[in-house]
Amino acid sequence: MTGLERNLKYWFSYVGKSIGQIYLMIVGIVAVMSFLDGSDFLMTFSKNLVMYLVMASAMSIMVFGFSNITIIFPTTVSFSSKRSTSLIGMTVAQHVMCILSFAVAFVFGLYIEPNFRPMAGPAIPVVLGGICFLFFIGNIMAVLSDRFGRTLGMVLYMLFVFALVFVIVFGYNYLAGGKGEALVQALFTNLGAASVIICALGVLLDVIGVWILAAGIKNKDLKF
Amino acid sequence: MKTLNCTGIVKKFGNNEVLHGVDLTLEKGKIYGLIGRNGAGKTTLLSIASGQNPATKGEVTVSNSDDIAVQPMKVWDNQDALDLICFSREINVTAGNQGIGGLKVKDYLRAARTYFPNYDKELEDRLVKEFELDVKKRMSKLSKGMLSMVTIIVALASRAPYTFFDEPVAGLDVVARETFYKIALEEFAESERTFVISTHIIEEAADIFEEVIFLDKGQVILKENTQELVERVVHVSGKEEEVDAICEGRKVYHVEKIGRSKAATVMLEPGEELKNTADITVQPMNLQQIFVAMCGKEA
Amino acid sequence: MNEILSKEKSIYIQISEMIENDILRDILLEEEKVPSTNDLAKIYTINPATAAKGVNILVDSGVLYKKRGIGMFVSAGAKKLIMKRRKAEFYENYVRAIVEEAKNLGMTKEDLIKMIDEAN
Repeated sequence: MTGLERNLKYWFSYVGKSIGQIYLMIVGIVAVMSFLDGSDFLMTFSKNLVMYLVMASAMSIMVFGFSNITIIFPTTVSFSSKRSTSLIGMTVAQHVMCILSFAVAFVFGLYIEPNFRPMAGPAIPVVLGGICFLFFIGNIMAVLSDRFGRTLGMVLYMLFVFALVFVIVFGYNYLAGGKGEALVQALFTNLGAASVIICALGVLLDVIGVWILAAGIKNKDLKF
Repeated sequence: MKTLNCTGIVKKFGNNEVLHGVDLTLEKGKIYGLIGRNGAGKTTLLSIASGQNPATKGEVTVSNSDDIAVQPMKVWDNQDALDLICFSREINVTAGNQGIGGLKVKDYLRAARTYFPNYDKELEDRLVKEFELDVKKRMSKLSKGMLSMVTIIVALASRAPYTFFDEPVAGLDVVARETFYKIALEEFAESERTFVISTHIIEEAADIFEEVIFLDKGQVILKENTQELVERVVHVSGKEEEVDAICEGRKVYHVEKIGRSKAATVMLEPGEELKNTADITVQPMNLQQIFVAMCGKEA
Repeated sequence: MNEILSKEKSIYIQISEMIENDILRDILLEEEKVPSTNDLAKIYTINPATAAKGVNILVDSGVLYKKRGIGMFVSAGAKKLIMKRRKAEFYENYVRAIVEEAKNLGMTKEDLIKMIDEAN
């Protein structure tokens, strides 16, 4: 196997396993929560599951970005992997798995909330752009905490996570209520081409983030 | 010539220069002992020689062919060269289950297996059994000794032509240490691998090193065949004038004076012999004593 | 072959002496194969190159001979060779040293011979 193949194999299995574990945990927690809630189990479960899965996917981008770069990446280098190849493996695996996990939550969400379906078309590129934007933030924070110390990185990470959780929970509940739906529907139906631009912006930022990370890591003295 | 070459390696951390122009040639099929005090720069040197961290100045190349026409490869950022090297360093497991800590030993070993192109699973199984390691344990729950064993297993099972061990026996009890030396020798005898073992438990390991490299304060001060070195360096003691006469024109390390008696560590010419006389006593020194004489506080 | 290595002499010299001892004790017979350098390295936990050095001393002195592709064998007449060399070494390392030391202690030749008689 070439260096690239080895890295793809490893990173996919590692990221996949980690995300899988988180998902299993969430499904379990949400199931218990919904069970204890009393009312219609299936409905509560589905609604909460989508929200928590989305939140988890978003957060995992952050968590992974950090521990993958500071701990797992050096481990691959200690196994004699070329640095750039490992970064490629890491980035590809993270993106694919995260997008997949979002997609699962997305599809599940559409299934239980038929009102959202017409918005799905324009929503997809926006969500994609959003995911890429999150990756960008994750990379920037990894670079910042590397430059200015782990504590700052941790603080920034916490702040961002809170903001993210807030937006998702609030946004989701808002959307699920009557008023929000109409607003979002109007928003999305008018977006059209703009949604693709938003997506492209997100992707561009992501690419820049990866480039900055790679440049920083290329010749850095790794701490193992 | 099949060698791994370090030329003019300088390493600076900020303004602190820790390696001052190190030149080192490692030949295929030899066991080297890299000996130095804490902070001498052993880990830094091995890290650079294995292409895991960059040098500030200088170059590391490796050649895996006896054909003169074949150019040696640069090690840094070159997967073809990196495929020949394994530097199994101390595993740092932060408490808790983040990152590696959460992995089980068998997952960690599987990762190593994915990366090293010559990895030998059978050898890994044999070593796991030999060290009585529980591979289902989480890395964060391992003792220092068990972590050392994992490092050793990865290094040996990697079957990399150039394999570096950074203080592999740290944390191992004496029986486990003997097991390591035995297993390393067995593996060495069957392959044509190059082992570089850094240690500061010198005497124990001295017999398995074909050559020793003394690293002191960021410089290689000696690289010799172990047996020859031990034969050439002697401890001369006795009447001051006689000892001084012996020291004339010879490399001398570590002189001591007590009253009219003097003692000195002297390096003789290859094959030279110095006999006891009425006024001086000539004694052999072991590797550890030689190292202390050359790199100790009063050297 | 079961002696332990000491720290007093060079390892490879000890290896050669141990093989010689085994030959003198009929543990290794003439024309018999001697353990390979890798085996010796494993037994004593030493570098194979060191073991090889020890074996080569014996090849150079004629105590062992090499059969290409098979290994090292004990020469015919090895025992006699070893005894002859050890007697010469005995003279060099012990007898001369005794004489030196006796001189240092201010003893005469007769004093020394008297001592030897007493010890016998």
